[in-house]
Amino acid sequence: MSQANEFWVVAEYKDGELQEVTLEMLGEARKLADKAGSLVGAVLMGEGVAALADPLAHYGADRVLLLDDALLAQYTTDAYTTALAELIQEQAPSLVLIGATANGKDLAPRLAARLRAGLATNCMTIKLGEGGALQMTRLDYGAQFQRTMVCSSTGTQLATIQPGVIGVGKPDTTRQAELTTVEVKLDPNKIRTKALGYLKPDPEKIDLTEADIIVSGGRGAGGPDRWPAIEELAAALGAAVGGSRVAMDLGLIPWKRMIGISGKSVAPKLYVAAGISGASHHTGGIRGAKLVIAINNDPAAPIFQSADLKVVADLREVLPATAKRLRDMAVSDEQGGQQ
Amino acid sequence: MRIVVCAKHVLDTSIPFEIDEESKGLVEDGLVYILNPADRCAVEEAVRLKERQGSGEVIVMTLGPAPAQEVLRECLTLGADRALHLLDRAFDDSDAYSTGFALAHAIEPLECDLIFCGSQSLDEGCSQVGAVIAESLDLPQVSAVTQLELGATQGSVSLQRKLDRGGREVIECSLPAVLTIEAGINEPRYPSLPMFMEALHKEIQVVDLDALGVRSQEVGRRGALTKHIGLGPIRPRTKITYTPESDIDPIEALRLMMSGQTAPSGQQSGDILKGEPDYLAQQIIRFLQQNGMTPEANV
Ligand SMILES: Cc1cc2nc3c(=O)[nH]c(=O)nc-3n(C[C@H](O)[C@H](O)[C@H](O)COP(=O)(O)OP(=O)(O)OC[C@H]3O[C@@H](n4cnc5c(N)ncnc54)[C@H](O)[C@@H]3O)c2cc1C
Repeated sequence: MSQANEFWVVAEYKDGELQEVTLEMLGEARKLADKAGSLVGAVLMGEGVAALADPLAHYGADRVLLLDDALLAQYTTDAYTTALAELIQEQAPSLVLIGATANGKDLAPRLAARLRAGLATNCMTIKLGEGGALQMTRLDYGAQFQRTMVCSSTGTQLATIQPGVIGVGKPDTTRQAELTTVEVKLDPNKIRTKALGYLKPDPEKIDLTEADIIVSGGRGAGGPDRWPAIEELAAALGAAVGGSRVAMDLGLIPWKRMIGISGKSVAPKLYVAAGISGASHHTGGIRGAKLVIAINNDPAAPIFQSADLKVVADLREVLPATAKRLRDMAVSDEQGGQQ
Repeated sequence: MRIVVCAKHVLDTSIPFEIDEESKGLVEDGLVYILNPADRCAVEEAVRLKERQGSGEVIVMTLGPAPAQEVLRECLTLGADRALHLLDRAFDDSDAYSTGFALAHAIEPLECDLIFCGSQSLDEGCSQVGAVIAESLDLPQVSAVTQLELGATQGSVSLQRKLDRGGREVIECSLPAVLTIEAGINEPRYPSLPMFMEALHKEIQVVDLDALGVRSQEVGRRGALTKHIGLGPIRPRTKITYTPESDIDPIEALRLMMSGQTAPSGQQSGDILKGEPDYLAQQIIRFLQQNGMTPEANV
């Protein structure tokens, strides 16, 4: 029944949606499996998550192994390692890919140690080498070089994949996967950690490299009549505040919040740059940003070259107006009650 | 309470390296080794825990060649009580697995309550050793710990652990346990002269293969599960991108856009917005909404 030499992906999801890295890994596994003439399996663990089997198929899975159990509802090292290790031992896939996320980085080395399987962490690429051996590359020595490695263990090989490197392939909504429900036998007494709660990131304290939204100001936002507008918009958006080198020189932000090649490299979903000219020293630190809004009163400012939305305006006017609209929307939502 | 801290001698990666074409390794000349920053925080956290309790012992341990002894000496000045150096030619070319395996064997007879490792090493950053130790000793593990307190009940610790995107998980863990400590959990102290002097009298015990009581095929290169086959300049892969077609589900298209796989059409080029502040504010909000970035879409 079980197919040897399958390529597996351990699915990760949040709020009922597959994580981007899971989709990236499915695409990579698909390519490897096509080359090796094998199948892609996706392991889906949790409670009441069967609906995610469809998108797993759309992005490349031939079969979905569903482990549905109350003890898997929340990630714990013990439960996830035990459930996965038993499944891998039984079905012996040739490769298991795990996202290099907070949980993935906790799970993968524990799983590898239990299976006595080789593990390459934070990989960027995986290639099928001679004789079917897998070659993984990862960044090494403070990301100065790339290292190629192979697993010398026999049997299943493990790799964690750096999110955001591969890119998400095109989904095929007509694809279907065979769904296998795997019996889970976990002993609650053997789960030695207990998750007690989740603390949401505090935009004021969060490290900029972890922030989802950043509002950043530069020389154009300097001065007591201007900087409060940056903070006002950041508060309305729930964003962290950052700035350019000049903003730091003016004492508007501490060194830790300076963005650019000599400061932080950030990768938020949204980056708002106001009163920043867009020197390459600055934009070098925002290459990972997914969306950029630039606000500058000089239409020729180079920052507009890196922007998805280019707003030529005086930030003293447009930032407070935008913040006010956002606050009004939040209030009307609250009054609207439960929708 | 007895705490073991595993510390690593790592390359200072702020210095540029060169590759030796023949050996495919780094040119050894001019390399600088330091105590791994996260491990330094782990030592500090252990010493603080001991100080808070008023009693206990902090033991540091490293596996590495003779010069790695320097990091042990440094940990002793930071307040650790004694040190173990796993030193034997048989340990050469260990990978994360064979390192963790050997460390676990050295830790086992110490009967400690907590084992700390740094959450990541500066040079290779595989974040594996802690988990290998935990598995070898059949202990629970918590990784990327950013806050630590002794639990309300005896025999447990209450922790915060780093999740993705700035989130934290509050977690309770029974003891003994292995914790990997995140750099930044504390601000490690600067040792004073008396601390330096005191450290000179502390013991560094060398543990070789025989003393460890394992076989040579279980450690070092022979015990490793991975092998390095190449080192070279970074060749970034091309990230998959494509323009969504009209037949694609709009929600899917939006998600792809947000994940940066495609350019939001129309705005990438040209399109400079000008006008009255209120009009511009409206346009900015529209852009945020289109991309699912307004606060309520984000909670
Ligand atoms: C080796 C080196 C490393 C560096 N590293 C960094 C780094 O890591 N990060 C970094 O940021 N910089 C760095 N710099 C500095 C960098 O070259 C620029 O000098 C700096 O980024 C400029 O900051 P700015 O955009 O805030 O200021 P400016 O370049 O002065 O730009 C101010 C902008 O504000 C606009 N403006 C003014 N008034 C308004 C208004 N009312 N409304 C809207 N817009 C307005 C202006 O049109 C202008 O475009 C580095 C420089 C060197 C040489």
